[in-house]
Amino acid sequence: MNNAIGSRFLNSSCVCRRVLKIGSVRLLVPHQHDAAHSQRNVMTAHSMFPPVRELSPKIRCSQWTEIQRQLSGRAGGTMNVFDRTMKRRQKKWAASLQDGDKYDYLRDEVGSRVADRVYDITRTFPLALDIGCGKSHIAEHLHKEVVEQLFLTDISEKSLRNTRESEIPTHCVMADEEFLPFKENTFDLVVSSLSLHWINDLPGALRQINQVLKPDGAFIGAMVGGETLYELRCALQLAELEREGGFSPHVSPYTAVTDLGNLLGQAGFSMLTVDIDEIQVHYPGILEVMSDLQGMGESNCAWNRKSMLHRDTILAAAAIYQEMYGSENGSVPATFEILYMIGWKPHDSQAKPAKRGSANVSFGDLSKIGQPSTKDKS
Amino acid sequence: MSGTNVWTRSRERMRRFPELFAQCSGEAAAYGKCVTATTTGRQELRKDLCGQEGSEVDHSAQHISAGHIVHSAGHIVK
Repeated sequence: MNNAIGSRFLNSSCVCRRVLKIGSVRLLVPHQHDAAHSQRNVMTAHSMFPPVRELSPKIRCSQWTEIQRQLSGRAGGTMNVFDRTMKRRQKKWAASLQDGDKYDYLRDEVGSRVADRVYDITRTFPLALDIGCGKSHIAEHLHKEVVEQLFLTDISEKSLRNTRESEIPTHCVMADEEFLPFKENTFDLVVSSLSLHWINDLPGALRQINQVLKPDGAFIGAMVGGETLYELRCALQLAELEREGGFSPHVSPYTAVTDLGNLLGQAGFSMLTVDIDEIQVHYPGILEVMSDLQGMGESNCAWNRKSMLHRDTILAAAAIYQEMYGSENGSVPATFEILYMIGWKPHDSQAKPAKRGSANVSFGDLSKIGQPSTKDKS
Repeated sequence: MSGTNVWTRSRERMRRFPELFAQCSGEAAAYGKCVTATTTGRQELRKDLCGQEGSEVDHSAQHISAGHIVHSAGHIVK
């Protein structure tokens, strides 16, 4: 078990940032040299890479965001939708709230349903991993007979320090879901509840989960998807269109349930099970919806997010939400569509489709199933 | 977090929004009906299509929030 990387993350996130800064300056220097230092003597070619100290004050805040955005997307053209640093900061803020427990209702509910699915598999798992655990909402429902040892990972250190009590011995590792610091073929069970929807490279992350699983290991995940928060999205879109003339996305893009089967298949899982659950929560108004999402640590962190909402847009969105989706007593619903997925790492002991030509009964015998055989009557 | 900054002040203002909205419910309902009518009708939603209703909501909200400020200042003076 390679925990060295995990503990390094825990101790100093600033190390990563410093390395990133130096690296980014070195990368950007050629362009800056052309634009900003064009007056310099061209003969001084040896000063193509001036020392870091000289250039770092020249990189303004807006450029730094752009540098971060380009560097955080990996080579190969993977999607880069979410700002993971921002998400870590939001989760840290949410975990340090005094009354943070009152926002846990959704996570608790989904955690208990994932634990139900773990119980459905009548096996004991010696080693399990919980990815993006938050305050560990699944482990409190599990018993030692089902899972003997549990590793909890999350990108936010603060939530790992406030995990719920569980009777299973747990180890906390601070790790990013896209860069799992574990060896191959380690875990018998990987669970994940409501954290996969912030991953930039979902196929890559699912492949890594497949790698850390032992053969005949199971992955049980729950992620928000499909038509989640469509009421909020529509209300904000209409309000912005009417008040400001255009709109920008405020709700992050979700995976459709039809894509999930393909994703899991490409990652190498077999015997897939995908189902949808719809949880509708009623709130007094749009502002309570948004503040609860913020308290859960689910604020928007897409790169293309607008940094503010105008007051008239908020009032307009509240009016539209109430009118389009409100109920008689004045409350408004917010829909959370949770996609549950179960996938297995292939193993020889798993049932495979029968070989062609191995049938020993004929389809013509189907019609005789309902009739009792004459031999048994005596 | 030391003292008040722009974020704590704006969060404080945001906290008053639900009650502002509750008191402007009449104008808000009119605005809401105007906008939802465009989603079912043929008209595309343009900027300020429901401008009149929208400005009514804004005026009503400003009026009520101004009343709040005067009210709370009165308490402090007393």
